[in-house]
Amino acid sequence: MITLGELNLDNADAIAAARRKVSSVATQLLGDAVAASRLGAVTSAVGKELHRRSAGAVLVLRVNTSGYSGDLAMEFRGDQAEASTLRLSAFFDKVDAREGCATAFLSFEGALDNDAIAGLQNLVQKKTRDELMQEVREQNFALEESLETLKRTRSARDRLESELNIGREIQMSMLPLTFPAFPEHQSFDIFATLHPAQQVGGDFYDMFLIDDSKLCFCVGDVSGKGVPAALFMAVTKTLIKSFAAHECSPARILEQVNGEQAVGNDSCMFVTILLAVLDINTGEMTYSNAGHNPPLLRRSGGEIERLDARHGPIIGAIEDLDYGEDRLVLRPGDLLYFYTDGINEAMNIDRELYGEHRLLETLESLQDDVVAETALKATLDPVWAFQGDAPQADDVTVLCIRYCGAADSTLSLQLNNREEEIGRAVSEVRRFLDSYGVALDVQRKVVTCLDEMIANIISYAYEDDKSHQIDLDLSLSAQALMILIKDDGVAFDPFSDAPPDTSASLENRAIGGLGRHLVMNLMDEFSYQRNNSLNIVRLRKQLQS
Amino acid sequence: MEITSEQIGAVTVARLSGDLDTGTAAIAGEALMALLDDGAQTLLVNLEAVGFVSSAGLRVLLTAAKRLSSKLRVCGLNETVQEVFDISGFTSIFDVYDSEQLGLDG
Repeated sequence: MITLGELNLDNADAIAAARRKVSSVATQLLGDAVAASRLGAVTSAVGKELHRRSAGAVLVLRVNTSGYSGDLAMEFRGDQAEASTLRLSAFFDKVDAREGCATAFLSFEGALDNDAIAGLQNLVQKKTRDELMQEVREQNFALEESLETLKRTRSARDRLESELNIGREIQMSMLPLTFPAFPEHQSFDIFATLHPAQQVGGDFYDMFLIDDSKLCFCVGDVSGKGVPAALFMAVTKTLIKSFAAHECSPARILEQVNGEQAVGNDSCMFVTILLAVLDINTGEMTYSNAGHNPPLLRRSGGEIERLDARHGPIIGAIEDLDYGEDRLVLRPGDLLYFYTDGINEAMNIDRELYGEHRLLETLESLQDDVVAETALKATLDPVWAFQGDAPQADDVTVLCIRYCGAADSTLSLQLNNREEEIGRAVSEVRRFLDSYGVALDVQRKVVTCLDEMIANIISYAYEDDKSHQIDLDLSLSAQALMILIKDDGVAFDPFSDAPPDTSASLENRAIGGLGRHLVMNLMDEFSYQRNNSLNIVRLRKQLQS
Repeated sequence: MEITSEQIGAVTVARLSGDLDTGTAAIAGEALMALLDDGAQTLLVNLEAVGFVSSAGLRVLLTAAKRLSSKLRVCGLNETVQEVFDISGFTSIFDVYDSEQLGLDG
């Protein structure tokens, strides 16, 4: 028996969703819409009965397939579920009952291959729009509170203002704001930002790993403003993530998102989306553009490509649309730039547009080894300068990813919090770097920094006398060496303090803070993050000038 | 870390070999202090055979320098050590020489 999924029957919405899902599964298995709808109806009836008796009732769907036929098994679990046997036997071939459980079997003709089973699983497990909406509401504590404020607000003008603010709160609360977003991954570097406008705007961005090797990221722009636009954005973003869990093709994901959003879209809202899935080990990227402005690709060396392909209309306007997608390969050093029209349509006080040409110029003038965050800021600064005192008309959103290339080689060391371990780490790292022909000068800089960082952890991170593990991970590519140091000591950001005075006279000279100052100068990048009770320090050393 | 010393005229030369880091700073510190206790007036630390110097090593040099009445002389810095000295501002508080001979000449 292969499990297709488990459905809860805990409330009216959940039972209605279960009815629809059973009906769709049965349609596919039996090829008979009328019979399928009957199964949906009996599911709903039994579900309501179980729900009336007690909370926590569930329905588990399974299939058994051998050759050209199979069985669908529907297991209802709940208080006195066995009492539903009679009702079920009218629609099924056989019903097994025991205390708190009734399993109904129905045979079907035809073979099921793995794809078909995966499709059925997706059907059962995927969240409905209502469920997602519920999740968004539950996640958004601020929303309930703000809606209360809104109810109390009297004047129409205050009301409009509050509504815009609430919309803004929902919008901003949905965005991932922690950077570096994926400190464990060294083959890419991603950064995004959203600068909200005073009034209009429903931009969003997102980035998440689908699995060990696939990164999904997107930028979107919802039409409209206020709470409706914010909720539309929240649901769109949640749908993308939910569909991406089962599907790596941006076009298929967008088709499904459009399918959900276009149905019953009475307010006629829509959203433009630029969605990409990147294989972080190979640089292969598939992307689909649904009505969004074209992304820009800055190849290593400075040449800019505008990815002009359009793969379908805006999302949410028309049901049953097919979307296309394109593939390209990111090479180490390439910088991909997703943005919203808030940039090119930024206006100065004379109502001149900033325009794409200005953005292209700044992108072109970037240095090759610039990190995503720096690239992003370098392209936005001129926009703010251009805009001057003119009000910002629309949200400005940028998502920038630099592909660094998969590591050619890695070294992982587990160190103990004893001073002797530093020497061991230094010699292991030297041997590793030497075997890959890394220049002596770079090797020395790296080990100097390791000595500083690890000695610092051993001396200051622990409040007890126990043994602790420090993880040291190095990954080397042709372009750069990435170093990740993790410890479970007290939270401490080594890069937060002001630099020491390096011009004091001999008498007044102190060593405190000098170690981290060295690291910040000898390395090309450094960052600190506290995550799951771990201090995570990430260092990067460029290998080519 | 190996340390040898030699008195050449008025200058006491300390030749360090190995890395001057957290693990070796204590040994190097003791050796330099011993030279000062023995009455060294002008100290030249030769770092030709030193791969890298971390802040623990800088502390040792700083402690020695503070005990001297004349500026501490160092020589034989490789590219990385030179950069570490520059970043930490040590180039301005020590006298840095390219070679031991230039360090002796002062």
